Order: sequence, then structure tokens, then C-alpha cells
Amino acid sequence: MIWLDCPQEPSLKTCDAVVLLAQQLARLGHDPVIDERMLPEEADAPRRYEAAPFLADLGSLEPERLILLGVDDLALSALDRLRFGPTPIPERVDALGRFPSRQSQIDAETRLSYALSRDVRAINLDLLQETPLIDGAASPVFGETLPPRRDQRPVVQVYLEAEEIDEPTVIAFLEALSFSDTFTLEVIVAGAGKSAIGRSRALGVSVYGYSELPPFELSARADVLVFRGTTVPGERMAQHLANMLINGRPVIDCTEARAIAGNGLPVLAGPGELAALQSYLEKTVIPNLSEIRDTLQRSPWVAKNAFPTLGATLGLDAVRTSSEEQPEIVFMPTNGNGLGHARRTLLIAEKLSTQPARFAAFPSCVPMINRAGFACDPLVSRSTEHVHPSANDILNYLRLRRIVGPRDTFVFDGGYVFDSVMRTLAETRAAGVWIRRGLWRSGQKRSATLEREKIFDRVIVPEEAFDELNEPLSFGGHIRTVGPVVATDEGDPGAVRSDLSHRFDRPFDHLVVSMLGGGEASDRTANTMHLAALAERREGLLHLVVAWPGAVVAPGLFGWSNTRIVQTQNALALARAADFVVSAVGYNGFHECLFHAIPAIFVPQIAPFMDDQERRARAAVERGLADIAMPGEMALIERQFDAMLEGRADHLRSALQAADLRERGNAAAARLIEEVADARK
Amino acid sequence: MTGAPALGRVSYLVAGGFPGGTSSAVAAELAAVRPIVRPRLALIDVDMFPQGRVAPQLEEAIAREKLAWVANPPVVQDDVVVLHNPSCLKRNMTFETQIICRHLIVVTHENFERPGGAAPYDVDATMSLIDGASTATRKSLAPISQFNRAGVERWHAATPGFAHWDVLEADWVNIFEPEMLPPTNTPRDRRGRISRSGPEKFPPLDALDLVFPPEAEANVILGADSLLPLAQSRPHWALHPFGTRAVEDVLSEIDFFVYFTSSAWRESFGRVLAEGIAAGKVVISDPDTAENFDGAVIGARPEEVSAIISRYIADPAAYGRQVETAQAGLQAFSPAAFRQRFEGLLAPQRVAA
Repeated sequence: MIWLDCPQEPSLKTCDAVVLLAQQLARLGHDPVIDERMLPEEADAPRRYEAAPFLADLGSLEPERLILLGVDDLALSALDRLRFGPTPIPERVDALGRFPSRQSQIDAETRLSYALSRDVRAINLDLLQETPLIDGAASPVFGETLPPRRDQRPVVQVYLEAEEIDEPTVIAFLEALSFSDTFTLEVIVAGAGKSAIGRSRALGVSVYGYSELPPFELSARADVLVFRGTTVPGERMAQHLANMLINGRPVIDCTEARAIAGNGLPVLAGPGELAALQSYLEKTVIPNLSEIRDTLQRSPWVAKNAFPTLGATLGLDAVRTSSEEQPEIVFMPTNGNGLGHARRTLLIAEKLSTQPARFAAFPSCVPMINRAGFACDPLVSRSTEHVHPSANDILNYLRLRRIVGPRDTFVFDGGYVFDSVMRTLAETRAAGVWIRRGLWRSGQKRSATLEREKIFDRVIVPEEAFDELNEPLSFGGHIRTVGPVVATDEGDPGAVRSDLSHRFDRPFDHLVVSMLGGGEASDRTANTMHLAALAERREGLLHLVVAWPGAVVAPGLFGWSNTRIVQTQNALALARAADFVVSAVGYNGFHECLFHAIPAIFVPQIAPFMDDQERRARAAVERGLADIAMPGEMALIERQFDAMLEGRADHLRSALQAADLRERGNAAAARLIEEVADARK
Repeated sequence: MTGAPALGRVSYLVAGGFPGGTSSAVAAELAAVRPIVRPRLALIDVDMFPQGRVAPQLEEAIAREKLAWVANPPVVQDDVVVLHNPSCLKRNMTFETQIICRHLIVVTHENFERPGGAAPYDVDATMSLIDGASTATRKSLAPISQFNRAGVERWHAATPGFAHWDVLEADWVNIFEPEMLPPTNTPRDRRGRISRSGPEKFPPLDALDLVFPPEAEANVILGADSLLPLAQSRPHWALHPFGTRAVEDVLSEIDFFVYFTSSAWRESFGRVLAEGIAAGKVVISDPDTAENFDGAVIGARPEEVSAIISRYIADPAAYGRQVETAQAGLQAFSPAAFRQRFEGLLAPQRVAA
């Protein structure tokens, strides 16, 4: 275990420095830890994610050695934190700094030695590297060996300062670059610039925020890196730059004064005007990538600034051995507002034939997944009790990065791509598949989550049953559609009815099942109570209210003699046995009604962050395949309820049985996932 | 000038800006040698201190002894030139003062080595500046204590290009002549220490816990600025920031002066320990530091301290003997003793002249 610290006044810079080195050491197979007090209060979410794998309460640990960064600017408070901290100072202490003179180095060594009661000798990075990438960096900034690029098409990343995005033509030029048929464009820009591009009309410009991914993951995605702006804007981008050069990937200096080239780095001086960049890249850089790589790899700068130079100085060799674990397909359904995502992924996982699958899912879904025969690691749900809004997702990130390996295929089903998902994919470089049903509300379509599509190798869109509901959300060869993913449960409805009669010790003539959802999305207690009252008026009627495991059930529901509360994860079996259902219009429930010919009164959920349930329901209603009532239309629901019992249900069932529905997509989705997984092998 | 001609003329070359120990030592030394020579004083500005600053101790000595002094002279020329504490040049890229003399003596207040052997400042560079600026028939290094001497001799032996320098045989000790207070007849387990608050002055926390344990009747620490955050977890420590209490008050509250520093640093002399002895206390420190006092300070490891204290509490007579012997040993630091050594050092030059 290696303890990393930066004994300067605590800041985002010192935090970045230790986390960047921790990431490098972890990739080499070491076990770095950082005192949790190194994370400043003002740390943003990306920093919290990146630091999380390494933060520790040192009181419980005994690290074998301590590596200190940035010792050229020591703070007494930081020295006190180290010497009076809960962990004894290890025997071996290494210190890195940048010293303009021998005396300044001795000053640092003596102060550290006195404070830590160890004989500390500092390493002068300026002597080791000769040409520092940026001035005053606490981080050592040595480039790392990157994994080989898999894509045929080169990826060009362009770094811009946020202010440049505000200039009138810049987004237009970026959009033009994004349509190059020679390379794929990725833009790196600080948060404000990213939002500006998001708000613009530019299509298909893939944008990364400055700290959205660790530098190594940005480097791993790129073949060419272009710097605009004034200079290298900090230690993260300096690390990215070093990674590129060490791996023979060209860096184009388009900064205002060609500041990077002027500093003696082996970079190409590129055009100053963004308008000239495409031609420069396509004619000068991309055709010569291999020659540039050869030249870079002979550069003395590269030898001095590659991580092995630092590793040899610190006595840090790689300890990682290659993993022999079999590749797996890991599914992660979100829990959304019900179990729909988990059910859909299970239906697909059951059709896999070539590779083992496992799940990572939220607690409400775990029993259902286990019952289906899959291993499942639990994730943590969001809670207002947590100290930080991202706390649960940071923990999920830590779990996912342990579960998912580089040879695995990670399949996410959900509307919002969590940071944990994004980072796990980027960091593990597992193949990524996003199962993304459509029918988003118009307000959702330009949201940040769609923008995260860039991290996935493939997007699988399970279609809606009706054409007008299938509007594409995005375009490209990576988007693949499949028929509706719907359960094929063929249980015997008659047996279910007799089983229910036996279980509740009462005969019935009519069975009505209501499954209005609820939970986080919306409270349907009033509607459910209303249905219970309607059911109470009929003799020989059994009304089952389906509540998902863990859902809160209004106590008043237990007082009705014709109504029973059922907790089940197989609502389909009950619905198939029912005369009719009163149902919310989620993807699964809707398509189950259609494909299993179950008469339904649809009561859409209308929360703004959900899919467009009303539109989905009306498509069926217009075809004479269902009835619809909005939650507030109590009188209408009453009329429809009575009508169903008086023949409408039979009529709808006949219409449904005659309906011409497209083929299920369960197996096709499984094939598409296996294609991605096979390509990864 | 009109120094005692028999001994030749002596100049002192000192950075006026030294805030503490070096200026006090030079001031005491000027007073000690005044009966036999009338030294001239050259005060120089160096890059590690603000320009033009002169320590009050030196100003007082100049006035009291009616000494001639000059600031930043281009040349210092005398029979003997004594340069105190070469570390004053550690931030200098150049040294503009030319030194021309028969005997240049560089008094090495700050150690040339810290434990482990590393240099506590760029000794090679500063000594090279002095060597390059001086023309002398003899150039000597003058260590100030046993521990200080060991590092200076090792450096001298290991550094090519300084073979024309020598190391004086007798230590150029600090001058110290306080009032001696008698030891107590009833020593109790009352411990304490006095120092500035710098990290070098304190051992690691586990050692501090050993030497200032909860079972002690008192643990008084003056200079404890950086320990204040630990006050809650160690209620048995009486912590006082540096300068908030008079030294004699703190000494009056303890019977055992227990002084350990960072194991990566050593006092070159340890004046505060001598003050503890003079105040009638048994003084315990690490063996390196104790060596400077020739038995007057008890050398021990932190884990041995409580047993030593218990022994002396059980045997008040032994406590008294230890203090009295130690106080007698302090005579070696008296002005008279220094004057005698100084005269002996300069006498051969009288013959040579």
C-alpha cells in the first residue's frame, strides 16, 4: 500500500495532483491511498468520483511507503497534518518537487525530514524531465502507455477554452469538423462551453467537459489532440498531452503564441484559424500518423517524460498480471419507477447463448433477478439521508469498477446515464451497450443524458408497437433497433384463477387487476381507492391491486372486502388471468397487454421525467385496442369499468387477438449484444 | 584600530540580520574577548534576511563595548577574521566582501550534517563562496560542540578542494554564565520542555506521548503552537504557545527538563538545556545532544525517560548530585574559559607575526 500526499495548502490543485498519480499507480497494479482530508470541501462531483477509489481513513491502515508531491511549496499546516495524523510515518518517504536551486531542494528536504523524523531526500522533477509541461505543477506529469486504439477511424480531440465557444463562428466550424469523413471529432471544453454547444443547433458534435473523464481515459480515446486557447490549461490537460506524446500520438499546437511548441515540446505547430484545421488534419496529419509516431518515439523528450522514468526513480515497477477471468456480459438496469428496466434486461439476458451474464441492480430488483437465475451485485439507491447528492452513485461507481473488467461487455438499460456508468465504461474500457427505449418527452430529447451516448459502442432501441411512436432520438451506425421486448410467459390463466380463488378462499366470476404504478413517479392512492369502491359494488368480483415489493400501500386499501393487495414480480400472470386490467402505460405493461391480448383501461403516468405514456396509450386506443382515462377522470373510469364487465373486455380481447403486431425483439437484442461482446474478444 | 597589539587585530564578520541564537552568541563573545582585544565588526547584508537589519543584541554589544563597526565593507582586512555562521550565505549566489587576513576562522553554528548524513543547507556552495572571497595564510573551521564537530570533520574529510582548511581542535563553545539555582530536595514527577515551535524541535507524536505520559504529575510544554490541536486528546499536557509564558516561570513548575527533537535534526549546541541545568533541573535528552554537555545532560531514549525520572524521585540525594555536577560542568561555557581558549588560539600567531 502506497500513501500519497501533497503537503501544500489544501486546494483543488493538490487534490488533482495526488489523484492523478494514484490513478497511474493503480493502473500499474499498486494500491495507492489518499488521506480523506485531502479532498477539499469545494471539490466538484467529477473530482469526488475520481478520488473515491483512493480515499481512506488512514487511521486504520499501515501503508508501506509515503510519496509526497509538490514539496517545493510546503505548508506548515500540511506538515502538521502528516506528523500528527493517525498513521505512523512509514520508513520510506519519497518526495517530488521542482527546485530552481540546490538550496531550495535542501530547504524542502530539511523541513520534511524535521517534521516527519525521517531522512527525506527529494527528487527534482525539473532535472528528471528537463522541460516541464507547465509551470508550478504539483503533479509529476509523466505520460503513460495507452491501450491500443481499436477504432479504424482516427479520433481527433480539440481542446478549446470556454470563451472561444462564444465567438460567432466557432460552433459552426466545429460542426463542420464533426462531418469529416476522415476522422471523428471530440471536443474538450470547460463546463460553460459544453452547455453552449449543447444549446446550439449543432448536430452530432461530441463534447467532453474538462473534468468529465480522467486524463488517461481521454487520451485512450484519441489519436490526435489539438490545443487551442492560450496554453496548456492545467495539470489534467498536461497529463493528457504527455500521454499522447509518449504513445506517439500527435499533439497539434494551435495556441495563440504556439506556447507549447515554444516550450520545446515535440508537438506540431498547427493553423491558428479553426477554419483551416480540417484541411490541415486531413492532408498533413492523418495521412502521416505512423511517421509521426515513429518520429515521436525517437524523441529524447519522450524518453524523459514517460512514466518508467519516474517509476525507476521511485522504485515502482508494474505489478499487475493480466487477468485470466472469462469475459462476461454485465447488465445494469436502473430501477426507474418500477421494475421495467430490470424485467426488460432479464428478457434479453435469457436469450443470450454464447457468454455468461451477471447483473448489478438496485435492491428492489435483486430478488427478481436472482429468481431468474442470475448473480446480482446490489447497487445503492439515492437518498436524501446521504451527505452528498452523488454519494450513492460514487459508491455504485466503486462497485461497478470492481465488477466490470476490460474484456466484459457492460449493458446499461435506463434513461439517465449515471456518472458511475459513464466512468466505469471509460475507465475499464469494457464494451458498452445502451438499451434505450424511445418515446421520450420532447423536453428530454436535448438533455445531457442523450449526449452521453458517445461512451457506448452500441445503442439498442427496443421499438414501440406502433410506427408513429418510433421517432429516432439520435442517428448513426451504432444505433440498432429491435422489435418490442416483451415477456413470453405462457402460464395457464385458468390455473391462476383457481389458484387465486383457493388462496383467498373465495370464488369469483370476474377478476380485475389494477397496476397503476406509483412509488416515486406519482401517488395513485386516490385512483386505487376509487377502483376498490367500484369493485365493492359487484358481487363475485375480485379486485387485485398489484404493489411492487417495497411499495407503500395506503392502509385504507385493506378494508375492502372485494379488494386484495398482491405483492408480486410476475404481474403478467395475474394480468393474463384477469377479465381486464387498469394499468399505467409503461413500456413493459403496455406491450404485455398488446402481445398477450389483455383488455386494459390505461391510466397514464404523467411525471415530466418519464416516457410519454399518454401518447403510447392513445396509439392503442386509436386502433380500438384499449381504453384510456386520465388519472383525474374518475367518472370516465367508472363508466369504462362498468362497460368492461358488460362486454367491452371481450370485444377488446378479440380485437387484440386479431391485431397485427411486429415480432418480439428479445432474441435480436441478445444477438446484438453478443456481436459487441464477440468483437471485444 | 587599537586592539591589544600582542594578540594582533581581530575582525568579526557577521550577518547583522540573524534574529536569535547566532547574534546572542556573537554579542556574548564580543563582551568576553573585549578585555584582551578590541575587535572590529563588519556587518553584512545577506539574501536570507531583509537588507539593513541589525539584531538588537548586536546593537547593544556595539554600544556597550564601544566597538567600531562598518556595514557591507568591500574588504575586511585584519590579522584574524572570525566569520560566524556560514549558513547566512545559503541564499546568496555571490559574496561580494573580500577577506584578507592571516587566519580566517569560520564558526559553524549550524550543523554541517543532520542525522543520516544529509546537509541541512548547501554547505558546499556557501563554503565555496567564503573560500573564493578570502585570501588567508590559514583557514579554519571552528565547530561549536561535539556533535557539531563530528559533522564538520566528516564534511572536511569528504570534500575535495578544502584540504587547505583545518578544523580547530578546541570547540568554539557558546558563552554561558547564568545564575545557578539550587536543586530541589523533593523532586516530583513534574516534567516540561521549552523551545521554539518549529517542527524540527519536536519528536514524533509517539515519542512525545512516551516522555509526557498521563501518569506524570505535570507535563508543561512551552512552544507548543503546533500541538494545540491535540489538546483535547491529551488533557494531561499543559500547552503554551511560544512567547506566552516567561521561561523562568515554566522552569519553576517542573523538576525534570525533558527535551527530544525530531530524530532528523539535532541542536548544534542546545542553549536551552544549559538554562535548564542552571535552573537546578535534571535534564534528559537524546544521546547525541547529551554528548555536547559532557555528562551534564542525561542521554536516553524516549522509552527510558520515565524509569530515569522514577529513580531520581526515589533518590532525592542523587537528584541533587546530578544537578550540582551538571552545574559545575557549565563552567566550561564561562566567558573566562572562552577567553583563555581564544588567547591560546591567537598566541601562536603573535609568534608568527
